[in-house]
Amino acid sequence: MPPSVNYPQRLILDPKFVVWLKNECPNNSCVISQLLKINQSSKYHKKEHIIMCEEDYEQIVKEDVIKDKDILKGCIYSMSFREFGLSDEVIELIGKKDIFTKRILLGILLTDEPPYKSIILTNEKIEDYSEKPIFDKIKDLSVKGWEESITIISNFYRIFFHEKELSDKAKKLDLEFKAVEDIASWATFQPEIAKKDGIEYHRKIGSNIIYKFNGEDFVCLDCGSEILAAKVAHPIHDGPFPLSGSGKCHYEEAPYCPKCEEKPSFHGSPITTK
Amino acid sequence: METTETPIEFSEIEFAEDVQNFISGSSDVVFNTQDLKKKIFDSNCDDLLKVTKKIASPIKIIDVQKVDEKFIKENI
Repeated sequence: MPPSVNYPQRLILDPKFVVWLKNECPNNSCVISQLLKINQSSKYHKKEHIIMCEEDYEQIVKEDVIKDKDILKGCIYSMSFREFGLSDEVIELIGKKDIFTKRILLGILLTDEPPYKSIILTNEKIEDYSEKPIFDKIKDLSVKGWEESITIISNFYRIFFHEKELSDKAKKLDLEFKAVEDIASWATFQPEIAKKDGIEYHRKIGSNIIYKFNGEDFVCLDCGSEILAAKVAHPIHDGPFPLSGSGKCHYEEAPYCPKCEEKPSFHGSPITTK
Repeated sequence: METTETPIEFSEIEFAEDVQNFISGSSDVVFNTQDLKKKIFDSNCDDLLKVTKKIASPIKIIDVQKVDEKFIKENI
């Protein structure tokens, strides 16, 4: 099964990067193949993980940078500012900005949704972006030149490949996971359980990281690490007004593999009592 | 008055498993030749395929190409 991967950043490509990739990158077909797989396997933005400003996309189509437009479309999603639900006035204002500012604005808008971080991959001068006053204000957006960009793409592909191996491992075990019913929607850990040959396996719904019960503890099926529990606080909204509460929290112990997964955030979803 | 719809032809690159799931879940898919169906179902689930379809009723799959590095090299 191709994995569904939670990549750490959204990627924005600019036309000069694509032109460099096509004409100068020595292993361009390998990198493009990696971009295709990354874009197709994104957990939250399937086929829309790698972005280009609509205006930039139209330019590289017009200039016929990549002959086969389906390859281009498979790697890169052409995104319009209209998709963010902005008002006509704001769209008009953005339309008057220079293209570097537009790309930065696109990157900023992308940080509003998972994975809340974005990177512009470029072959322009980094200063063309970093010297824009708006750029300084956003810590979750960065710009990388072609050398670092290739490393980023390669690292993303490593994540894809690792997740694929995990997925294949689970497939070989032929585990049939079933979601546990009656788990509150606010819970950080939404478990699925499978049993085979008397052994119990748990995982987060849809995750490739599987916890195996070894009789005493849960261990990671992939790396063998002992599964740890992170404390997650869920604020209880029991006050008279929406989003208000007495300050009480419900604490959940959310499991995670310390090697293969990020520690769950302490700040959990709120619990609404009404 | 009878109207005839002009079928829209388009291609898309997807993981083979996504194509396999689409075909398995739809009774309204036909193939230009049976070897196209075999090509799709013989592919590894994480192979990338470029599938060309005619969108009409039924959906007709008219071409399938494996998108590997060789294909990319020849088509960029």
